[in-house]
Amino acid sequence: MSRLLPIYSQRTFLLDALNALALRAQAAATTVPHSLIEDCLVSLALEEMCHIVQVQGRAGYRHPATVLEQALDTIERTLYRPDASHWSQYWQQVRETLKYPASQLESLQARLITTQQPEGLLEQQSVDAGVEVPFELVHLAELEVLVAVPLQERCYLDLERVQAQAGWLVSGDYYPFEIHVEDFTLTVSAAGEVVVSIQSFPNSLVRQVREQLRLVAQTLYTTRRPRFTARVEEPEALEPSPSQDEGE
Amino acid sequence: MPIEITLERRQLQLTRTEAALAKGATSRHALRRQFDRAIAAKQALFAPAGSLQVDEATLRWSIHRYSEQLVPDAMQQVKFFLSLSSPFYFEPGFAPLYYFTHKSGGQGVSVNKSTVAAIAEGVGAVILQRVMAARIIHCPYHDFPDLIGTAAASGTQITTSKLYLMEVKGACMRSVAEMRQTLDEEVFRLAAYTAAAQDLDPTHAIVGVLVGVVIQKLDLIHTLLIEVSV
Repeated sequence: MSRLLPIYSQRTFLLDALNALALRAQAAATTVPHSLIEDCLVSLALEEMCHIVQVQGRAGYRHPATVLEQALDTIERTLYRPDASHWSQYWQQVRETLKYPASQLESLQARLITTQQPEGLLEQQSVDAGVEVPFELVHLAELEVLVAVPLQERCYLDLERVQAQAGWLVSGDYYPFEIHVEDFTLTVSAAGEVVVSIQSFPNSLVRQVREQLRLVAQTLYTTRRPRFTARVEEPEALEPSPSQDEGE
Repeated sequence: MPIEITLERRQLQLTRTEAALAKGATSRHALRRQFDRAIAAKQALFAPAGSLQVDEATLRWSIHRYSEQLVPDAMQQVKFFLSLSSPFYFEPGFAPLYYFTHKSGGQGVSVNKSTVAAIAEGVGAVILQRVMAARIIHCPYHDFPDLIGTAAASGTQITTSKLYLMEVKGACMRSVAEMRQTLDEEVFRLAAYTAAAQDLDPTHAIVGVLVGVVIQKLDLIHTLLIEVSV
């Protein structure tokens, strides 16, 4: 297996999946609601709702519409195509499924306050200077974890480059990969997030882990295309095909 | 702390008749007995399938990300419960927790079921990703099954990729044989569900996966996998 893997955030993955499933349903001219489409819509709406709560809650802003309505509105606009009208059959079921999670998120949003962080430990920090792919470092104080999230859609995980670093070790054949750096274990999720636990760590150690996470994320995220693609393209570009020779 | 997850797999390829029996078995007990006899005759037994090594931090993240159980630090809770059965429990400094033993008829304290379910779902998510190389796209809330994954490398490939429907059962301080018994009793439900899903979407290859997770020690978890396809 290649150690250079494309990263798809859960949102991008689900949007691509929904578009592919919708195209197939359209081609089959079926009017029966597809449970897989519904599952993807529910997951996507949850992702969207969490994003809305996080952004608006941190900014201290509250939209007059409910979180669920905002999320569904965003998804509907993103998936909109003039020739596709079949989405309407799913919204009612998605609303029904997400009624309680949405109300829970509403109450969380109302109570969301920025927790008092220890001096020097920012809750969120964007890293974009001197890196191939900009990323964000997030401190989830309640879970006692630090997370690095890539901010660019089209990028890759370069596990070979990580493995090549002295003292760093990559384990696992597939997600979740683990990167062992000194005594810390960092987990790489399918969405490209790098997570490290800081449970019961003193502040000085948290700063050290944060620095290690920054280094790992900087090494891991890349915009480089997989090498095997280049190998396939090169001969075609350099050598004319036999049929062209015959024609001449 | 590294955790070893040992695997035993059993694959069941159902015929149309067996799939129909599984569907009928959800509402008629006689058909369930027929289904049990039919799959027992297939001689598809559990076979050892190696093991996985994951760090405790990875499993903790997996529980947080994919479990629907609302439990704080499931690993820590089970670790405490398991420590009660350790001889070191009687050393000075351990709190004697005999308070509620009279209520369970002398059976002793029992582990928090939600905690075990949370760890089992976390282990299930790791297996779905590492063993089946699938991406988890949905965790139905208080619904069947526990996890839905796809073998698609990107969202655009979902229509041509295998789909996994995973249901997870967890137990702590029970034997593997007891878990086998539990899975044998549950397999018809997943078989019926997989067969129904395959009928609704014949273009997708659908695999139902029933996972039994037995937590023996916190660093040694035994799992049994039954893969059902029609």
